[in-house]
Amino acid sequence: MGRIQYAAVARGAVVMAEHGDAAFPNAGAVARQILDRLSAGDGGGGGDCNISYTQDLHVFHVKRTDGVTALCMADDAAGRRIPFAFLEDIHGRFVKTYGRAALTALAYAMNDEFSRVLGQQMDYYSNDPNADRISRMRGEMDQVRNVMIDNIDKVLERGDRLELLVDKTATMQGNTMRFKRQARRFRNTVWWRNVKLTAASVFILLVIIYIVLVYMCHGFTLPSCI
Amino acid sequence: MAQIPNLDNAPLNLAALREQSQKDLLNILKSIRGKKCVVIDPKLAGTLSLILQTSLLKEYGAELRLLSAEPLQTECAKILYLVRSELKFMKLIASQIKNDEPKGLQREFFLYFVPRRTVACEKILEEEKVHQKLTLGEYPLYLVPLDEDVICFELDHSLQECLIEGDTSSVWHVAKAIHKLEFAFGVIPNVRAKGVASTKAAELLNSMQQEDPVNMDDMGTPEINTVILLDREVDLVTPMCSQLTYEGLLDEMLQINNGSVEVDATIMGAQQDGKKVKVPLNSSDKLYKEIRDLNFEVVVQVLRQKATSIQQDYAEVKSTNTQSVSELKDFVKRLHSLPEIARHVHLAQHLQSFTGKPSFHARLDIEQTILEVQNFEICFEYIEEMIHKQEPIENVLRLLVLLSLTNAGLPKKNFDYLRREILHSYGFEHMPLLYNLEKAGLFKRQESRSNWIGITRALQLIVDVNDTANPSDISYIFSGYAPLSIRLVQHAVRSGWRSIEELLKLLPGPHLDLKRGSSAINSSLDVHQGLGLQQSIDRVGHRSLVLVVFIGGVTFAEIAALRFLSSQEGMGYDFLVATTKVVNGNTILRPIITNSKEVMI
Repeated sequence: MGRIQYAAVARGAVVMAEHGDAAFPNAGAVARQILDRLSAGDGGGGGDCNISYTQDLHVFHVKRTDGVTALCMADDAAGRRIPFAFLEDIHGRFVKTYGRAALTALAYAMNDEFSRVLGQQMDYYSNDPNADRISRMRGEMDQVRNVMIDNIDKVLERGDRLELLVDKTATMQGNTMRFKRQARRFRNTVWWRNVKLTAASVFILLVIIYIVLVYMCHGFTLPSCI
Repeated sequence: MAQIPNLDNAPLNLAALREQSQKDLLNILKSIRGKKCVVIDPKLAGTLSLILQTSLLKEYGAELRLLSAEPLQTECAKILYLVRSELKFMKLIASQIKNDEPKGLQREFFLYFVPRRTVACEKILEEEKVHQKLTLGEYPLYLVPLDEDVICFELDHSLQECLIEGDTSSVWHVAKAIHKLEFAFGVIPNVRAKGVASTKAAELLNSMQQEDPVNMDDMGTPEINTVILLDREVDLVTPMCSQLTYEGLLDEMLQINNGSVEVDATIMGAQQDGKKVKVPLNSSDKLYKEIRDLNFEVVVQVLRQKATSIQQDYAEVKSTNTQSVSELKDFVKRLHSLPEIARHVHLAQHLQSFTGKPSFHARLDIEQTILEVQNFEICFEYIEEMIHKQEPIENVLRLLVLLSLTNAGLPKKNFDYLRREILHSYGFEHMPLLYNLEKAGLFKRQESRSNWIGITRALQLIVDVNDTANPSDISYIFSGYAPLSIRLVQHAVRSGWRSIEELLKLLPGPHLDLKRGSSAINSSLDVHQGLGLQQSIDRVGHRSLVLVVFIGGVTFAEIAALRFLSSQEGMGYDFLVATTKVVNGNTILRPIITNSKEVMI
């Protein structure tokens, strides 16, 4: 997670409040150079702007709205979204606290009070992941998604279990026989039954005839008739 | 889960008809002020559940009771009897009223006949000396929508009355119901009828039009293009065959009543033994609408596809994390259909416990053999064997009737032999049953050569079914037999009776083909040319509507065949089915069996 290491609020080139990390003593001087350049280039700081300057391993982000400039220095890892969210936040707080006095204040006039606010917000935006509204929203979406999946699980458990339904339909499919196909087999079966019955009848008839002949011809080999 | 069917997609505005029935009933309730007890005959209670919710009656101060032989238990001072015009109900009502007299209860009694009062009923009330205590009225409920495309006249005994008892009063009711439809939707220009009752109904319809004409000047083109009336008697073969559609099997195995079926809770996956649950079955259930008319072979495949598809999607949801919230939402919507799938999987599984038996398949084989008029001896032996095994008599009689119908009766030797065997196996008390079957022409001695082979060839009733999943002919419903009645409808719709004039003479009863009200229609179109054109725009994009009326009952398989026909590309008609009752072979024979036993007592 990126860190914000210096912050200041200014009107034109006049710094009214600032707060910096002790590890970066030159941040203030660089910030003032940037503010001087911006004031000179814009003819006294008339227009609103959002701009970033890179210096060595640090980036200076500047946001000017309604004549009041918010500036901060952050490392590369902070990206742009969080620093500018930070700038918008402190700009809002500053304007809300001091109102129109900001337009006539002398250098460092608000530093005693607002420096502490700057420090707190620098910590907040450097350390708290919820500072990024989009990241927070994405987290909420993930939560919604998980809740929906949980609900789906509960629905499937409360009713019949889905696997059970699929198993039942698979079993039914295995058991289903085509209604029509049986007809031919049945007719074959009955036909064969008739054939066997006929054969048996013929056989019995032959046996009876043979017995009668045996009796009439006085012997099993039918000697008198041959 | 409402039992009242959803009529939003009906080819006619049936919802308006139903609302009128609701309004009529609520007006009757409003005309009796204060709390009242409504006593309904049990059959009518089922019918009313198709018209309005029971809770709506309670809003009008109605307390519901079923009419029975027991004394009436209620605190209400006003009693409203709502019963069909049947003699036995009059005796029950009279006994209840007499039961109240000694108690000194000061009650008012109202009696509303459904659909109209009859002289015979009033005569009984007079004989029982309760006529003076009753305020009489009529609740003209002639037809009830069962579903988007099915209307019922609720005349349960019309087949029995026409065939055996010679009572044709139900024919008047049928004509009256059609006349009411004409008041709502215009005079039907084409009328085709086949059978004794149907031709009589067609003539009655003409008489009613003359006595109480529908005013065609108020409306333009009639919504119903053709009405085809068929007697059940013309085709008794079809209901005797085992239906193989999902809905037909449900009716055969579990009995569908008023659009729902009642089964044990254990069958539906619940754990409460001995309890029964009622499952509504109509077009409001989208899955049921999709599978109801399929051959049962295919239903199992469809259910499996749906369950498997949801299971696969579920596995995908669990295994990957890339699904977006909207995709999850779509999946949850699909989960809403899971209870429907579960319900029908349970019902289908229960049906399969019947259809999976070898005896069921053997029976199908015999039916097929009988229909193809092959191997009379085999069929005879099979039926004889069933009698000896003492199978349920309904099952025996169905095959027996089928054999008799396709052979124009049995040879005298076989006929006498089987009758004797039935009396030996099932008891002498079935002698009146056999007499009634003979009188109705269902099981008779052979006196002439059978026309069945000629009919099956001319109409192509016996068809080999190669693909039950994507059938090209209505014969998929019986896996090889096309219903004779629906073949007649196909011809009637296409070219009228002319092309099959000779064939119609082979079937029982006269036939009729006429155009009605043509002069009225011509004059109305002349006078109201713009209005006519305006009205005709309403049905632009809609196909012509054919009303098919079955007097004596229709089977779910036949309804499925008509739905199949109207879904075909080349077919230019929508079908609306109207019937006295939805039947199957069991429900046709059971009243005859029951009545025959009552005669013996």
